[in-house]
Amino acid sequence: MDRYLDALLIHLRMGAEAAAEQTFSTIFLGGGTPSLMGPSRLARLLEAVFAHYFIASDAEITLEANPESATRELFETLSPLGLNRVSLGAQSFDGEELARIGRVHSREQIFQAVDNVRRAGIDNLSLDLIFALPGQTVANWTSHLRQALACGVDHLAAYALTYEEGTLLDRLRREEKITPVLDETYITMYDEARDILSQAGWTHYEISNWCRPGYECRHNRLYWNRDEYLAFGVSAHGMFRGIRYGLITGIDQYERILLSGGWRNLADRQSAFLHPDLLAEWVAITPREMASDVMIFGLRQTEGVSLLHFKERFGYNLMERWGKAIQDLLERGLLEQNGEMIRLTPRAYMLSNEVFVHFLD
Amino acid sequence: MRRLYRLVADKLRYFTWGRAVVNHIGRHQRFYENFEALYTALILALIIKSFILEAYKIPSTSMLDTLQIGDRIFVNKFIYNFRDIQVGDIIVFKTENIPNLDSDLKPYYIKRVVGLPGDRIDINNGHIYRNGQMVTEPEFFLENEYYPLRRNDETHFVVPEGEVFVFGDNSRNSWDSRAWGGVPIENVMGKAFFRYWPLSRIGAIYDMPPEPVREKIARERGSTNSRLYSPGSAQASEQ
Repeated sequence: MDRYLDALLIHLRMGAEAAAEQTFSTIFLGGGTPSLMGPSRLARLLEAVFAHYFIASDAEITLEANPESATRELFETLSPLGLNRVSLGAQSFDGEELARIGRVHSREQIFQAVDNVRRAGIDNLSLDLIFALPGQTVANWTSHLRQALACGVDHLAAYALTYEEGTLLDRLRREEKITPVLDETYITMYDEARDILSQAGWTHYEISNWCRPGYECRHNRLYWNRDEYLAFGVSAHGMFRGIRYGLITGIDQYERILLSGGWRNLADRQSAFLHPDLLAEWVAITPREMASDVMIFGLRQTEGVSLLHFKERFGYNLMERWGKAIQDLLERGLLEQNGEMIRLTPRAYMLSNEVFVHFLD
Repeated sequence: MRRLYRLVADKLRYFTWGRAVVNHIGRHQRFYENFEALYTALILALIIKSFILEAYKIPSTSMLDTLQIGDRIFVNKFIYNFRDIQVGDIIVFKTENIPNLDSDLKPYYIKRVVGLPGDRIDINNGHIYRNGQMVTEPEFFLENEYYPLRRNDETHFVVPEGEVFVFGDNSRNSWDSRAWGGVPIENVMGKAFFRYWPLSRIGAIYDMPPEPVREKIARERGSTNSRLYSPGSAQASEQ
């Protein structure tokens, strides 16, 4: 773990030169469970970020944590360093449901974690919940939502469980050891979430994300708007100067390349941190693809896509490119236009992929 | 003449009564003859490998759609003794002494030549311009699209003397001269000219893949718009 941190710190330092003229508005320590690194290592990491990059004074600084490693010490160490948002991987308040998807924490641990975050003076707390878990009923799900509201969180991300090919869950499903919920149940669960949270006065700002007004996740916004962000650490994905990249996944290889110091000989110091030896995948995004992405990720946000902003960014009216498809979707009641905004209708939220395919080319 | 006659007669005798003769000449002799055959094959192979052709395997997507991951190719190592490197040639070269490339990790790269010593190269609207002229020969350059490596990057280069400029065909996903400059001509191993594996696509490496392959790739690309190509760099590992 210490070797990995050393490698990560070197990588961070390499990126500083390329980003010397940028000011960063968000920091996101996430992907998996960075809380497992422990308070002192995370503190060193955060300090390194501040040492090498310009971070806006009002930056949103998020840590992803799972309830069992969300200790009081963790937040009390990081809060003075600027940590101001925590995203807890709660997934569910029911121990049995959790066990079925291989999670080990309990309901009490979630409450304890929430308490730890609040005691450290961190104002912005988000919970991740998963619905349509095997064996989950609509009543279970609504109780989870109410418990989440009751513990006073500010932001909720609720994604439906999916069975990705090659995963353990997918195998169990095919061996009929677990039964996925019915499609109708799944749609009812999603509608329940929308009802309960809107009654509580929450904003539904993206298909799967809700928050108390003013608590939208700025880091996610940036990602959905396809703005640029740097990524460090194994498997991390970033976007820099029009290149989307994913870093290598092997911890050993990552450590070896960065700790060997070979990068010191590179003449092109500016992009050394994005040297292809460190990348598992990368591709330069064409303006056309970028426009497709902006459209799709824009429509996932409930406010929709602004015709004006699109034109400003890409130099053409999106109607020129997709006019026919949009007209068709408006007629089918999957899209609606409100002034210069185009957005999904609520009934399209569950059919969004059907809409998005039209914007792929 | 008499010696030649005897030689032929001996050979004939060997083939006619081979077994008997072998028995007669004994084990040592037999071992020696086998050894000689192997040894000759080895020497021939070494000569071929050093001077005539060498096999490489393609590890990356940087030369899509011309070459795909896992393709095995032969490189012609003598051709540049007879003619100069030309724009459009696909070359394999050593990465040693090229700044920003790690020759321990990836000793060989494969790319397409786009500029010769002293050329001025520009990328504009998806096309390559050589000394102000759009490159249209071979036809490949008209069909393929070229991009700056990164947004905001400079798209204007001058090729130093004694070096050539090389780009990957898959311009969106190739780590090439746009990033690290020219290839010293002494690094060039040869010209890629023949694909011997997979058998389904065996044959000469043309400027462009045959029509059906292109269509298939276009279909795949169309259906997976946001897919990331992997892995990143363009390296040909030695067989």
